[in-house]
Amino acid sequence: MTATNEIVLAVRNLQTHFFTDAGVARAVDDVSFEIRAGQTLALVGESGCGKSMSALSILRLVPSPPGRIVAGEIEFKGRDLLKFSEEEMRQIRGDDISMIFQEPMTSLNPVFRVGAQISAAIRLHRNVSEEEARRQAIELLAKVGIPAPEERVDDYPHQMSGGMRQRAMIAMALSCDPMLLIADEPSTALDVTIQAQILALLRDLQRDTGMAILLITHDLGVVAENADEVAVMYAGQIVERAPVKELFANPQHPYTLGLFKSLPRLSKKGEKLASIPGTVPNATHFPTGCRFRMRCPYAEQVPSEQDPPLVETTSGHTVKCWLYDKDFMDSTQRPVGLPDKEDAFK
Amino acid sequence: MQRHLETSSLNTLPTENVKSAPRQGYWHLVWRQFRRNKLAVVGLCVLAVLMGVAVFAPFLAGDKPIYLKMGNTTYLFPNVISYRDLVNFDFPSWEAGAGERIVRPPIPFAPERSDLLRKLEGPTADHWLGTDDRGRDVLSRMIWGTRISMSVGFVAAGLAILIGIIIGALAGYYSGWVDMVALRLIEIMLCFPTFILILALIAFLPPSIYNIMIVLGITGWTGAARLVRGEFLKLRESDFVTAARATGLRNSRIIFRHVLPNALSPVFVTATFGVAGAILTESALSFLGFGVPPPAPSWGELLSQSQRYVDFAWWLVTFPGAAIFITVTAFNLVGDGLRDAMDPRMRQ
Repeated sequence: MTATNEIVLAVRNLQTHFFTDAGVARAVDDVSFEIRAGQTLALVGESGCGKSMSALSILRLVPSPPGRIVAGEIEFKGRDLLKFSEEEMRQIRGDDISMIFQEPMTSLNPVFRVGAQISAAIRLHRNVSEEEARRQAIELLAKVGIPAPEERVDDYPHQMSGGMRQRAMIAMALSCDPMLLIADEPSTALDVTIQAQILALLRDLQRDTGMAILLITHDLGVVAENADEVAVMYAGQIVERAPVKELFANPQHPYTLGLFKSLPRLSKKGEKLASIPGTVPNATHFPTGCRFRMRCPYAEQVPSEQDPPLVETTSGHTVKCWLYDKDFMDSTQRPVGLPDKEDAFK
Repeated sequence: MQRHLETSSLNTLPTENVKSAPRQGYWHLVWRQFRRNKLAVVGLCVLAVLMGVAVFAPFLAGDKPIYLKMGNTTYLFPNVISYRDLVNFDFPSWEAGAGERIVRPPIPFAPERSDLLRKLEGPTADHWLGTDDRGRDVLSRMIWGTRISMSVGFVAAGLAILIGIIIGALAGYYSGWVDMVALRLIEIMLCFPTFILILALIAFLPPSIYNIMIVLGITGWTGAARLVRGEFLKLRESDFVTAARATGLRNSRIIFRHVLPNALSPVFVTATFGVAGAILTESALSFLGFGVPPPAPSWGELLSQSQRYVDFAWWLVTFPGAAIFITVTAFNLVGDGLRDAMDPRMRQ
């Protein structure tokens, strides 16, 4: 088993832009994070904030044109994936890094048997015979909890339920023992009970294999149960990063706070659900300065031109917000941190 | 580094839905739907008969017997196998003596054998569909013509589909400038009046059935290309393509192994219509004298020969014309039926 503190993947200042007719959409703009072996990093944010594009950038699968990785480093096992040739990249994909997708209904090829798809993935990266690959496929299906795998291996995707297909996808993703698994909203398209099963399965598999997981989700409940570390994304940037317990106990960025406040709670039954005012800015026309500025109830006197700095408030907890910048807050003669404001996010 | 995975006992699905859904493949569904369309089924039967006629032409019409016992020697299938002793043997006039035996095809006339004493005869007991201006048996020529028409139709349409699939797949999968070039190419092809283009190309080539196949193939691919391109544009966005790329598959393999099978159903429909079109075009070319070189019998060539006698020799025009008509109609009926059967909105 791998040492748990080893950094498997380090993304530094990644920028992925889409060059569209409407202008340059900065889908991923200066994103940095690390994932350690055996750990799960959750990338949280609402639709269109750039979490999926960050994930696709790691595998260099950004739809191109119009998308392109314009800057940054993606260091995997000490080498920069962005400097890899397409051929080298192909060997990484599905072997060292694999990915599972949101829609189990559509991410398996409808015209091939499930087992054939899994064994094809195995044979692509491992020099094994057809029979051996099939045997491994059955073993993998058993491992992801598909009953009667010897029969199911010959099913077509349409003969399986959504949960089973997602299990099959996971089996395929695990076929070559990846060091990093990217799970792009693996449970979103499934109903709640299956969701829990799939996430539990991923946890078990991670415990057994020591792989790192990049979990992309918009569901804070999923984050709480599955992640070791959380990165909150907003408008193409990571606005806050912290270990999961720290983040839930002490959310610092106003956006994170807004997300937590907009969660429905049983203790507040009958009250109106809180929400963050306004909408996500258009990726082609982000506002200057802090991108959350327009929607932030705490944004008083913040600079409208300069990007907020990334401040490490406590060990391992960083936040991209002016309110935590000591020099700036001193200059406006306010205390560092979120001011008390009861009526924020109503 | 190979880390060993341990089976997790936990988290296994309940076993109640272990039984798979009944294995009803896609083609099974298509066939069930196709069968409902009676006209299409009739078309399919006609095509089956025509294929049979084409394949078994030597057993249906010809000089050479199916079985021959001459003296003490027995020859099996001299109509398809050539024997050293029988080279230049005059089968038509040979009569079986005592202890000898000859089994001739039901129409014992070779398509090229002329009998000037019996030219331009209407249908008789000997010549069921009459004879032409050189006394050749029309039915025999039509039977052998089936081979030419069918092979030209299938090979030309197959070639067209093949070119169309490759160009359309590349255009749709890569989009961008590849798509631009492919689309311009298609537009250029569409600008030409196809038949004139074919005539012009044929004029430069030595007359042969293969050249006709090739020319029909390289002029007829645009429809398939546009269709495949459209399917690929749709499919390239689908998750399973991203998933396939995330597995590390090569583009060539994704295109031809993963996306193409999903894009093939509409291609089958076009192919069916394509065969009908190619048969019709070949007949037209032969009618104009640009087709299969004589004396090889093709339906169009039969029509062409009959022009001068059209006023009285109705059998020379009617039967080959009917053959073309029936074949093309059958293909179109099957194509229609296939299109409807593959359309999920039509499924009941």
